[in-house]
Amino acid sequence: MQQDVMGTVKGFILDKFLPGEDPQLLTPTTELIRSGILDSLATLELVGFLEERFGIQLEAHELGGKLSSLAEIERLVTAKLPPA
Amino acid sequence: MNNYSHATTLSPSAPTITVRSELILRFVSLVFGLGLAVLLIQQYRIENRTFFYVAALAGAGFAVHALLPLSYRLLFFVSLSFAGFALAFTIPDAAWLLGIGLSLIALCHLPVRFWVRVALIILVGIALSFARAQAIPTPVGGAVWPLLGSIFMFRLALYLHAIKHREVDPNFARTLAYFFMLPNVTFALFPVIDYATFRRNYYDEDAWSIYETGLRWIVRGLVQLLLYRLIYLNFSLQATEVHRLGDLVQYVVTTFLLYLRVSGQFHLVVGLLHLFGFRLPETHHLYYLSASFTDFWRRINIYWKDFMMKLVYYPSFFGLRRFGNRRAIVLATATVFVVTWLLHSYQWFWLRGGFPITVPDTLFWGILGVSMVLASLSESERGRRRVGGKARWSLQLGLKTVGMFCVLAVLWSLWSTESVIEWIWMWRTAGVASARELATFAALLVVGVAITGWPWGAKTLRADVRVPFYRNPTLRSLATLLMLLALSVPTIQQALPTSARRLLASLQDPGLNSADAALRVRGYYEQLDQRGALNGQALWQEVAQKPSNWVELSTENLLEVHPDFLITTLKPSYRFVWNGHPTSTNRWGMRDREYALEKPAGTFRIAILGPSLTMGNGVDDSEVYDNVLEDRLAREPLARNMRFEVLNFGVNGYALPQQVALLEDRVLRFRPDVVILTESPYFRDGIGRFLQRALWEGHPIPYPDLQELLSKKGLYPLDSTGIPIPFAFLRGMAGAIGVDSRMSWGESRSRIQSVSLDVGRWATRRMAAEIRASGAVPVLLAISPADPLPRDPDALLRVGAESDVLAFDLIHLYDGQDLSAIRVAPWDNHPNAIGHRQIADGIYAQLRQHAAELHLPRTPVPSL
Repeated sequence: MQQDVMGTVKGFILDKFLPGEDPQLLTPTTELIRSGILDSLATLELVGFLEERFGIQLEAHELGGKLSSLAEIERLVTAKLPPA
Repeated sequence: MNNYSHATTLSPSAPTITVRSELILRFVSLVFGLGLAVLLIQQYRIENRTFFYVAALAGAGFAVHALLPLSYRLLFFVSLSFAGFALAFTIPDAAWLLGIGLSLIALCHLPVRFWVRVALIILVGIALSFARAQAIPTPVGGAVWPLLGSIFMFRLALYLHAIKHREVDPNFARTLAYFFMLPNVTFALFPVIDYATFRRNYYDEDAWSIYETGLRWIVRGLVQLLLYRLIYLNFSLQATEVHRLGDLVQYVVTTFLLYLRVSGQFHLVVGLLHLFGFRLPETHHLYYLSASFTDFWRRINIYWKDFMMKLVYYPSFFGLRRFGNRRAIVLATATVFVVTWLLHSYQWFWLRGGFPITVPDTLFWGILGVSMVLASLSESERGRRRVGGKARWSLQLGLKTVGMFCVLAVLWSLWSTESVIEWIWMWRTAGVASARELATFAALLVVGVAITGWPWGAKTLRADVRVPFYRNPTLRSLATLLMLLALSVPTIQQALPTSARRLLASLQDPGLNSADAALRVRGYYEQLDQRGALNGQALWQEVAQKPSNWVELSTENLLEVHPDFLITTLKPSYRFVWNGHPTSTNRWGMRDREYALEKPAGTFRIAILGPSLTMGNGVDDSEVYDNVLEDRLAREPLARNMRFEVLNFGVNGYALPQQVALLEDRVLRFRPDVVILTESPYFRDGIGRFLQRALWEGHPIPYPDLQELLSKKGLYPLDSTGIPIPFAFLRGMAGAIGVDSRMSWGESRSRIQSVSLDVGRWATRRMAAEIRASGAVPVLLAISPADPLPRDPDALLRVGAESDVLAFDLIHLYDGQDLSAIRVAPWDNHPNAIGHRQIADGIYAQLRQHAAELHLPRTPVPSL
């Protein structure tokens, strides 16, 4: 499941915000906000995707550091998913 | 959780000799670089003396801090910061700052419900704001408020947010480090640092990379501050100095470029924090290269943007998205700009004590906000290509970037101009252009597109690749520092062409430019608290030093109001002590000794007219230059058996037209042999200020030729009733539909400025003729206050030459001297006793030199 979250989110980010970029360069620790990949509008787009795709609800205060990398996003989403 | 695994030291546990020697080299390079930076700050006198001490403290502190075990470093940083506060403030001020600060932090941790804590903090904040506004008396020193505001006005909100969402570290040292950061000692205007980021990014990467980034950003900040100074002192203009297209472009562009000061300071702040392990994000990123409004918002003041995102935008969006994403984006963006506009004033209140909500300020934020909403909507629909693809030159990017720079610079100029009408009036000059100006403008645009077509600084996901040694960031920082230091060496400067030497000299001058000096000359600085634009920084910094018990002349009863053209004169036989200086007038209403109306036999009488500089603001009665001159003429007379009297008719704020009225009203009755008309190179400002008041208050103008001069500019008679409408043709249209309209204050100011030189000519010519008709000799004394000279310092002398008066040129009297040693105070540019003595000596030398033209008897005179 964890691999699914990471892979799904990575695919979404590559498709939406990094077209043409080498997928290998987007690592679990790549800084998404600091590197400019996620700005405010992209963050909102990602939030919409995460909520719809994983059936979770995010809160405003979670949009800073908790979306700062793929690893952080995976941690956030996994914590909100119902236990398998 | 923090990961401190990167917090390396030079400890013997380092794995290999190679690694250790590399670390030693990096450590030595950093210490060397910081030493150079401190030297540079001293050589170029960057910011103020406190900044030099703080930089030296940070440099020395870094050398110790980097060698300490990790567990001691945070505590060491806190101790160093407290040492900085102790260094910069008096013990009582430091105690107040610490006491109030710790109390606010304690309130955040009270064992009560969160909203109760928030409510308590708001209540305390309101009480403190009353104290800051001096509405309630407190023993807290004036220096404490800006710093207290700087530390707590925004950071407290972020700290509470972190507490609410359980992001606060129980480590109290971190809390102290967050609030009482070392750079705060010297920088009141401070980036809004997010607590969660501050905590999360502490030593989260290789320590040496963090330190090296710190040095790089410090150097970048220093370079930006030097560029700011270069522009500020050499190229920036006042709106009233804009007469043609070239001036307009220069005004608009340089006004925008003055923001370099803010980004320079922020780089220094964040660079200094990097030296102690705080890997904070970049504060500004090539903001002059923004290609759209949203791009600009992301690049300029990034910390503010993040602050707004966290506390306003995201919460607003989440609260509103039930109405649909599109509406939520529009409303959340609009909310951000309204809040930014209000908080901008809130920030100014804490830093300066006034609310700068003005029409230009409101328009600026309003237009920026609407543009951002539209750009956000467009971007949310079209999407934005962020990273990826090969970097290549693009015409579209160049055009968009240059276009956006122009739009932003124009908006910035609106924000920085005193009134909207003055700003609109300034744009009339766009049509006054030579072919050369147009060609230069077009060439600048083409060069701009060519340069900005490259995606400079575009962020990439590519991992760091090995760069050649000459592109090593630390090496480049060191080379920049060494080059700038070399340029500060006099022997190197001597080898350069004169123009380059002059520009370099300006880089080492921390003073005001002529535009701000003019503001200070006309007393405008007292209103700075009400202004929002950041460009008044340098002036404000000096004014901020003024103690609260400093007495302004307006609070005394020395000046008497006249309903006629004089407007004010000095009250006769009045005595008071003005900021420690005995100040008195004689029975004739002159700040001078007693004199008989009838000139005694064997007396050579010199009458001096002029503004505050002649009246002697800020010095004792006996120190005013006319008395010093009279005493010297008594000791060393310029003619044997001749007694000299020097009569001072100077009145605070007197412009040349008032000197005309005073000359006719009383001066000539004293039958002077010489009449000296005194003015400074800022005489046009004085005339403008006087006419503005005379016309709007309806003082009668008793001179038909002056009436004609003013009526040609539509200024006489000036109707003060009706609705203010800009431009005559719009007023004409309003009149046609029955609307009672009038000229606005701003338009009349601009129109008066355009006629001020002619009014100066008229006044000088008229006085010269009347003085000659009375049998006396007219002299024009051109003298400068203890301030930098304006762009055209000799305009006054040219006016004098046209009127065929004898000129005493003392404009360059203070050249080459430390002006701070000649001023009454840092916030008062009137000459002190030393300056007055120099004026007296200067006039004495001129009298001696022109003895024949002044009809002084030919007698031997003592040597100077």
